[in-house]
Amino acid sequence: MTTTTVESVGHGGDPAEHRPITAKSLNDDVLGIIGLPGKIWWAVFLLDLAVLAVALAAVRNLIVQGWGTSGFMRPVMWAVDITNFVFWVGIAHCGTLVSAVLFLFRSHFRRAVYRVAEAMTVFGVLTAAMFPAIHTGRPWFDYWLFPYPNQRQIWANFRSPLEWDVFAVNTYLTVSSIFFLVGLIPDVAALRDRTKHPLMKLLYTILSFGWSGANYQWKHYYGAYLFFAALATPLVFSVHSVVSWDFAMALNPGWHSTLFAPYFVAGAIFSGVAMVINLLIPIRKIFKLEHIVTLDHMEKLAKLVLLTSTMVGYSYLTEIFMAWIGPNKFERDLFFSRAFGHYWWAFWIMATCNVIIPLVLWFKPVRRNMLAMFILCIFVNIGMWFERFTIIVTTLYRSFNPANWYPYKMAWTEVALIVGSFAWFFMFFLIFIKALPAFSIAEIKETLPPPMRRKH
Amino acid sequence: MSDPTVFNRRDFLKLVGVGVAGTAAGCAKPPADKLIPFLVAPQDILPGVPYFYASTCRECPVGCGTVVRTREGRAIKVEGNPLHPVGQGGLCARGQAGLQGLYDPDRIATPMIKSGGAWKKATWDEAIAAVGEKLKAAGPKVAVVTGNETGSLHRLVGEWVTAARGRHLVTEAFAYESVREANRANFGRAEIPVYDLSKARGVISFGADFLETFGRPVEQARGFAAMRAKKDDGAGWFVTVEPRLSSTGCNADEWVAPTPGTEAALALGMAHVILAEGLARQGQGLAGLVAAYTPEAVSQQTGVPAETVQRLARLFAKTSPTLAIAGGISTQGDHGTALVAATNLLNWIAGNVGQTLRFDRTLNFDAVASFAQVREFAGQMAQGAFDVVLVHGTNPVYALPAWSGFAEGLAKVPYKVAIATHLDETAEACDVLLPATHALETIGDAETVRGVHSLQQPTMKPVPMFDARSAGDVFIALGTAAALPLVLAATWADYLSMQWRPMLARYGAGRDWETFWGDTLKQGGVWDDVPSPAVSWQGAPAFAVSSVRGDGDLSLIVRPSNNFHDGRGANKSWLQELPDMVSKAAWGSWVEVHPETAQTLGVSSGDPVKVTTAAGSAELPAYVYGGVRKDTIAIALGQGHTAYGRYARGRGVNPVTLLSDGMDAASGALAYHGVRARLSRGSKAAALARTQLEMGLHGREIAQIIPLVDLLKGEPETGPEQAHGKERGFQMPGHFAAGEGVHVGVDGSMTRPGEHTEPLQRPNGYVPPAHSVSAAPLHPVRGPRRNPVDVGSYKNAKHRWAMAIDLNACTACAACVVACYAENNVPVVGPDLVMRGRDMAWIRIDRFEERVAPGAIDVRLTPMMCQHCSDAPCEIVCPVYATYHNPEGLNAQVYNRCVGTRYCSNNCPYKVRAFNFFDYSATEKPTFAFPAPLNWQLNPDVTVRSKGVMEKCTMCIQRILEGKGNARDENRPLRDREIQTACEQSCPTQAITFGDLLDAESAVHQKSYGERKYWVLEELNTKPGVTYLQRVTRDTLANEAHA
Repeated sequence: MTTTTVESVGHGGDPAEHRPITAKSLNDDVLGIIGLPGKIWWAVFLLDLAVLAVALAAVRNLIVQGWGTSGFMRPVMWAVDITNFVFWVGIAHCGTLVSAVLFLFRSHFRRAVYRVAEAMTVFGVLTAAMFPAIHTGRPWFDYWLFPYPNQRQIWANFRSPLEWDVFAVNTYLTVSSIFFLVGLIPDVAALRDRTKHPLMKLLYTILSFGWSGANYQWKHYYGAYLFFAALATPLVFSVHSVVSWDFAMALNPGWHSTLFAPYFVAGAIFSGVAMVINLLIPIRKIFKLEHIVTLDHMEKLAKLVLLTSTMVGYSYLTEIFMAWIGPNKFERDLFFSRAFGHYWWAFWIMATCNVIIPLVLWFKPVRRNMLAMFILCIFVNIGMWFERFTIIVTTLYRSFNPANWYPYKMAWTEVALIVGSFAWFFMFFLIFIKALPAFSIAEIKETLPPPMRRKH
Repeated sequence: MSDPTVFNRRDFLKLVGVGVAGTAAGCAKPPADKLIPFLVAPQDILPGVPYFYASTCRECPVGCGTVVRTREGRAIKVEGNPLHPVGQGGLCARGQAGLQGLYDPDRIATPMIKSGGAWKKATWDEAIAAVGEKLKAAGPKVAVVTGNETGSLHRLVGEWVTAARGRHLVTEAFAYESVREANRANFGRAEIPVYDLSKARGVISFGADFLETFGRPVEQARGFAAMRAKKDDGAGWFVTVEPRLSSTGCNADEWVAPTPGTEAALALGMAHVILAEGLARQGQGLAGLVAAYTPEAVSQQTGVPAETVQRLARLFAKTSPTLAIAGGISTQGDHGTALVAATNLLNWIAGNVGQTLRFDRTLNFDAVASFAQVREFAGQMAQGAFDVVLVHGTNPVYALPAWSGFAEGLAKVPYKVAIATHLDETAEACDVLLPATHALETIGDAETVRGVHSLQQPTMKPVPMFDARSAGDVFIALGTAAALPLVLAATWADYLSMQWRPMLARYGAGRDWETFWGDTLKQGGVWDDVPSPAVSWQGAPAFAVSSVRGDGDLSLIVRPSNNFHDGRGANKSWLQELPDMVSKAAWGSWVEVHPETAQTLGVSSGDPVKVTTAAGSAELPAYVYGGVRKDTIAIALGQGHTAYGRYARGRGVNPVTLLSDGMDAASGALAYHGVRARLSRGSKAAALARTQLEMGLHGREIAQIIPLVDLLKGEPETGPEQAHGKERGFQMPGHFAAGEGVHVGVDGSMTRPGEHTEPLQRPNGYVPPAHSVSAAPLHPVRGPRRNPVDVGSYKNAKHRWAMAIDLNACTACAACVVACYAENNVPVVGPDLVMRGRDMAWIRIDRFEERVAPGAIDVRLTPMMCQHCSDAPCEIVCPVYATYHNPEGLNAQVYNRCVGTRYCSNNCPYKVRAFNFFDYSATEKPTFAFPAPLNWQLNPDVTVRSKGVMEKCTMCIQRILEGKGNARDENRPLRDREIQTACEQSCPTQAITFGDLLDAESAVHQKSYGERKYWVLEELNTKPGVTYLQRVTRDTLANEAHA
């Protein structure tokens, strides 16, 4: 049996990339990750849960004692809570982009990376959705935000951007979960056939929806996949636009801007792709999958980071330029204070990490150096977190009336919320790695040369 | 009486009498301990219906008339009595907070006897018997120390002391000795005169904080507002002469900062100019007195330019009548009497005496001992002149410096008895504690002002958790126990009644005693007009300026606090949480330091500094304030208690401990200034809980002013381009005389003239908003002022509740803030949370100050509460309609529905919403804001909010409903001003007007559509329901030319 590499594989220097892929080796490589976890996995997982426990203690304080245990005050009534929300929604953005938009555009490099991106999306939304839920003063009444028929005949306020958020996030969670599960069907079926453990077998049986690989199933499968891809595509732009309107619809200087929707979408893709890179690099290294997720794939993601970085940078400049040229003194003062005021460091962390550091991606050796990429993408995500922090906190702490200017100081509960959100996300992701195929076997196999055509 | 519908707020006085009868009869011995619920309801009292009792405020020696609102037998709100001549319906922050004295959880609960250094509980019988024994043994070696009680209690104590052949000492921290002494020397009347600002057309104050503590602040504030409302040319100017710009001085048109202690020289220099230029209306012969005080000489002494002295003198003499007031701390130097005499001379030659300075209804300080006399008394105590000392209603151990010898002397007295409500520093030094009832639960009277006999009515049965007795009853019981040769009535109430019998002949007007007594209680007392005695200049004491003693490069000013007076308000959490109107700091002490001094020292606001004087040192946070001279620092009195209660103890610094030996020889007054101090960096991590950190206005038009000349011109004849071409941003109200007399206008706005603003008719001097939302003025961005009632759902509304706030009248006395806390159950959060920005005030007073020239600051004060916008930014963003617009124009907040997303606060441009970060209403939580019995004060008409909900000003919706209900029950339309919000009611200057905008005749309509109107952040198009009226500034430079 002759061997070949995946067709989109480039010709990188790493010999590991040239390991041959066959249908069997692909199954073995990808499904081999799954199974009973080892000691290292358990160590990481328990550490993760420990961090999560601290965060839960913080959440307990915030809810039981009150949000007074945070650093919030008049005028900064949102800070880490909504920063985290926007950050994780942004992270969640990339999955749909990679799987749906690139699918529609027939960008084949997505095949190697989209499963991780989709999983990241679902878990990212799960993380993000937590924050609007717990950030309220009385979270036990959160259900009032849903327009459900009730005896009091009170309806939710559809003019409120927060209400739009409820729908945007829930829609996105629903669609991205369905998309994720549909994409999993053929792979889970393969997994089902290999699994011995009865409980896991049952789970996989359910998730594979009776998949047998029959021709008509493939036909319907691809029809459905295309349909969901078309359905999900607008969401890529809508969700984060809606999230941005939480700010843009308010009248505060620094928020009240028509730029916000595209600016937020670009930023979301930027941070999401960076996160995907951060996830893929260790996975392909640890599980020795460099031949499946090749340097070429990674480089294409890096180019996406570079592109969105320039878009984000352009947005920053536009905001500042508009504040400078426009008649609005409040806005001009605000942007000046962002760069040179009490939170100048947050602004400069944001600008450095999001605009200046990614400039090195213009150089191909950097794009193909996985260590450099890993570090750079961490910086990008730090920068993107601070972008949201800057937008929210620096606007609120210096609004219209100077008598209300009051700096915000973060409390430990909020630090715990930040760290905890990562623990929460990685808890899902760690389970995912060990329970579901992290790469799309079915789609990668499409790129393998059919056995019939092999040369003798 | 059985019909509840006859009650309404306006006519409450009609109804008071009946409630009085029940309560007054029951006050001596409460029939039942439970005040609520009414298991067996007294027949006269209807649940849910408020009853009002007229009484007298006892929070300071002024004794304003009050009306106490009670519900179900509990006092819940103190308001000014509009019928009463003292206060005239206004009530200051301290008076509002009197309720917290009544319900103070730290009140003494039972009689206590000290044994072995520890307090042991005792019964009343034991305690009275024990004290009686000692009194018997002491014979004539007995002294009674009281505050300035006046009225029947003063007479009772007098009789008691006479019978015991002992001594009665009346002490007050601010005894105004120098004012009394100077008036005695100048006019033959040792009294604190009436300063009738309402008649004045210009006022110059030599350090008198007449809007805060000096004299009768509430009436003076009302008079001040009347003066400032004068619109004819040259009228209503106010110049303040003080080294530290006080909260009172912040209202001035011009601040002159002389060298500390030299105010007298400036006054005499002005007198010199007036006499020399023949501007005097009388007393030309007095020129010899001031011959030495040429403007040049004065300039040398005070550091004020000679031209300024001349200008002020001409200004003062040419407008008439005017008024020069010396009072407060500037008269508490070692030549304070000379300063008062100097201003008396000014008033005399300007013809003000008998007009704006009168001796008719003077403040009754007749019995109050001077500091020198107190010191003498302390010496007698130390020498063993007294075996028993009884103390009631005063706290000299706290209020007097250690070198006065009072604490030391008291310690040497073998047996000390405190008849007190609180275990304060003086009570702590005593051997027996006899808990006294609070003024609000005691019958009594007062004659704080000549010719005004005020009655103090018990508004409720004594709070049952405190086994207290009225001071009068205690004195009667002690007299009996000591077998004094004295025939007193059986109870204090009987004694009082006997004291009042003679009044019937004078004020009865043919009524029988019962009717007279009932009517008097309803009215709050009896009073008649006191003719103003004709006084003439009788001579002057030697003029001199106060000296500054000790070494150090800074002069220390110890000033009274608007919140705590001399410190007696310190255990009231409302007053602690109420930020000082200068520093906006709460719950502590600070030292005010000039920016350059601070820079030299390398400290900024909140950093700890150490103040060292010859008498001692103290470490406290610095507050960098452009309103003190470079060579001056200032600390407020009132904090630094070592006892008194949980809110007062261990908080801040008592600056009295920094005062070294110093007295005014002429009057015997304690010198609160005249001590040199050094400032060094402190070590302790001191913290200053400030509610406002940024004092700059940054060119934003939140607090607006209009020069009087522009106002007089009326509607602008000029187009917008001229208006834009004028100075914008801050304009100096006057100028700084101590140095640079330059008229500087600072361009704070960056809007390009004419480009981004629309041609809109505006008065001259109108400063265009910096923020405009459209670049092209094709359509007016801010259209003609639209009545918020003609849009949307208001079309069918019957009312549009609105408010007008006259910044020209507001003096930042902060009475409204405390009134709001009381009315609306606003929780007090404490210093830690204030420091973290979680204060809950529904109304606050934003302070802006801008350095308009080196050394000169322009201060603007803006009361800020929910603006009840017609297009409210908070309403559209609430996802659950917890905040919505009600058909009467109120921006309503439904606590039950609030989920707590806090989006409303984020979107509120005025940031007037307060979030319940903790459960301030949960008794079991450490954040509980109403420890019993403070929770008794809670207004039952207002929800106590729970954790996690947003709250804000409701425009006292409960009062609106009450007013509407009353009108409906009486089948009549609502009358204008029938409904008064709590802030409006308390405002001594009536700066706040509430009413219905749909009623074209209403006061609020007139003001909201009249001149000087503007909306804060109007350019955001929120269409607020609160309209502000620009403050009118007078150019004291220009006035000279006009006059």
